[in-house]
Amino acid sequence: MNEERREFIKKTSIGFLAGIGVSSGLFLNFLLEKTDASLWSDKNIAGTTRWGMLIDMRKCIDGCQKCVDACRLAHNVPDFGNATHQIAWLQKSPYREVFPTSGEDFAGKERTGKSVPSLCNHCADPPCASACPTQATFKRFDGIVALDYHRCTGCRSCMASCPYGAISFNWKEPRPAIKAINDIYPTREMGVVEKCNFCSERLLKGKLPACVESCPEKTLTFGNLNDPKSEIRLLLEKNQTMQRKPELGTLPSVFYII
Amino acid sequence: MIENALKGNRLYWIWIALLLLVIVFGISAFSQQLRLGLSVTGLGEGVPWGISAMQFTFMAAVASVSVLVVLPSYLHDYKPFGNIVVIAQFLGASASAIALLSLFIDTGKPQLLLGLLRYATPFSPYSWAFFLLNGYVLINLVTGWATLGAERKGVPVAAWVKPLIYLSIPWAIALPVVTGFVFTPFSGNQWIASLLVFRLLASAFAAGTAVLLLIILILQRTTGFDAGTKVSDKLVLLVAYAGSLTFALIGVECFSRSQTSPLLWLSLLFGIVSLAVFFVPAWKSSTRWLMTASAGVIFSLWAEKGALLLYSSTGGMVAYTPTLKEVSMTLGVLAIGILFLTILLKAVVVVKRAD
Repeated sequence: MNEERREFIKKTSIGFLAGIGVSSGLFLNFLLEKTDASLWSDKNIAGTTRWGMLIDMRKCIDGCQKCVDACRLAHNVPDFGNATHQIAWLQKSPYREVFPTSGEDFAGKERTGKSVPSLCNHCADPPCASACPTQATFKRFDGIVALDYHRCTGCRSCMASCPYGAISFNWKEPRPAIKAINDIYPTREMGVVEKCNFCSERLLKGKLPACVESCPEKTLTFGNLNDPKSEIRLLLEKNQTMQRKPELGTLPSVFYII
Repeated sequence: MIENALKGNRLYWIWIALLLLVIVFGISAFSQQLRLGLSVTGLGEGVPWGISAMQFTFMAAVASVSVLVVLPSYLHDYKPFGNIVVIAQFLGASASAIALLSLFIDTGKPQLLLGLLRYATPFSPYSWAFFLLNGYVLINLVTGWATLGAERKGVPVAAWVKPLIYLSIPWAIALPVVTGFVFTPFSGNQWIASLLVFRLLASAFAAGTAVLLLIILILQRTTGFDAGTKVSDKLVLLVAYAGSLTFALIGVECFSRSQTSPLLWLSLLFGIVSLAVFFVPAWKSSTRWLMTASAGVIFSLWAEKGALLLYSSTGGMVAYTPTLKEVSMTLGVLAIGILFLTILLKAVVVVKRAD
C-alpha cells in the first residue's frame, strides 16, 4: 500500500512540474517583467523617451570610416569583403542612394557629392516590425526597433519591406569573418537577419552609441527626441533637417543636416 | 484507396522514377544549403527573395482554383463540375503544399518555422500566408478524401463535409490576396501596388484553371478518365475570362511604368498569344492546341511572378541570377508536390473508372 502511494505521489509531482514547465514555455510572458508602454511615444510628449539621432553632414569628413569601424568592432559585425553577402549596421553610402527622392538632382557637389552615414532609422511606424511573422523584429518602449536573433526564422520579410535597405542577412557563417571577436556583444548565427540597434546595450550602461562616441568631428548627435531640453532637440529646432524618404510615412528617428 | 498508387503501368512507373530523381537532386542541394547557408543561392544584398518565393506565390495562386469548381458545384448545383470536384480539391492541397515547402526551403532557419504558429501576428502578411496555406492543405485533403470515399461507396457525401467545403471558398479567395500583400513592397510604385492584389487574384484564377485543364487533358490521354466536354468547355471559358482580365492588368503595368522588367513583357507576349487559342473555335476544340495553350498561360503567369521580384524594394531593378543549386531545390519541391498529386489522382482515377 505504502509503496503504491509513494509511487503515486512521485508520478503526480513529476506530472505537475512538467505541466508548469510546458505552460511557462507556452505562456512566456507571465514569467517576464511587463514593459510600461506609456514611457514611449511617437508624439512629442515630454516625459516619454524616443531615442533619435541627428547627422550633421557639414561636419562629416569624406573618406573617414571611424564610425563604421567602431560599429563593426562594438557588435562583432562580420566583414566578408564582397558586396553580395555584406553585412552592415552602419555604412557610408553615396548621397543619391541615401536620399533618392530628395529632389536635389541639380544641387552642387559640396552637398550631394559626399557619402552619407546610413543606418536603421528606428522608424516610429516601422514596416519591418509589422512584416515580421514571429515578432522577432519589434519596437521597444524607447522607440528602438530591436531584433530577437533567437526567434528570427530567416524569412527575410523585414528586408523586403524595409525601404532603406538597412537590414542585412547572414548568408554565410559569420564568425570566421569577424576580425576581432569581443565578448561585450553576442555574435550571430548563419541564417538570421541583423541591423543597427542604436547600441541599446551601451545605453543600458549610460554610454552613448559607439558611432557617436567615435566621431572626432561630433557629426553625430544622439538623444531623446521627446525631451525639449536635449541637445538633439535644440539642434532640430535651430536647423533645417531632413529624413530619408519621409513621403512613405515611416516616421524615421534619424535626421540629417545636409 | 491509397494502395492503388502501388499499381500502375510502365508509363506510370517511369513518371514516378523521374519525379523521385528530381527530388533526390533537390534534397542534395538542400542539404548543402543547410550546411553552407543561403550563400549557395543567387540571393544577396538587395535581393532578399528569388525563384523559391516566386514558386510560393505562383502555387498559392494555383491552389485557389478549387474555389472555381467547388463554388459552381456546391452553391449553384452545376452538375458537370461534380465530376472534377475531387481533382480540384487535391490540386488545391498539393499546390498549397508546394507553396509551403517553397517557404520552408527559403528560410535561414527552417527548424524554427513552427515559431510562426506560436508568435503569429495579424499585421504580418507572411504570417497569414503560412496559416492559410496550412489550413488549406488540411481542408482540401479532408474534404477531397471524404468526397472520394463517398463516391466509391456510392453514397452521398457526409453532412460534416459540407461546412468545411463552404469554408474553403472564402479561404481560397484569401490566398492570392494575402500573397499579394507579401509582395507589395516589390511593386515599387504606389498605384501599381494598389492594383497588385487584384491582379494576383485574377491571375490566380487564370493560372489555376489552366493547370486544372492541363491535368484533365493529360488524365484523358493517359488514363482514359473522361471528365466530359461540358467540363473542359467551361474551364476554357474560365481561362479566357480570367486570362483576359489578367493580361489587361499586366498590360496596364507594362505601358505605365517608366522601367518595365523584360520578364513582364515576355509574360504579356506569351499570355496574349496563348490566350488567343481559347477564343478561336477551331483551335479550342483540339486537345493538342488546348494543352499547348494552357502550358503557355502557365509559363506566362510564372514569368509574371518572376517579374515582381526583379523590382527592388529600395527602388530600381535588381540583378539576380538563380544558381543551379537553387533551381534544383525549387524543382525538387515542385516534384514532391507533383508526386503527392499523382498519388492522390491515381486513387481518384481508379474510383472514377470503377463507376
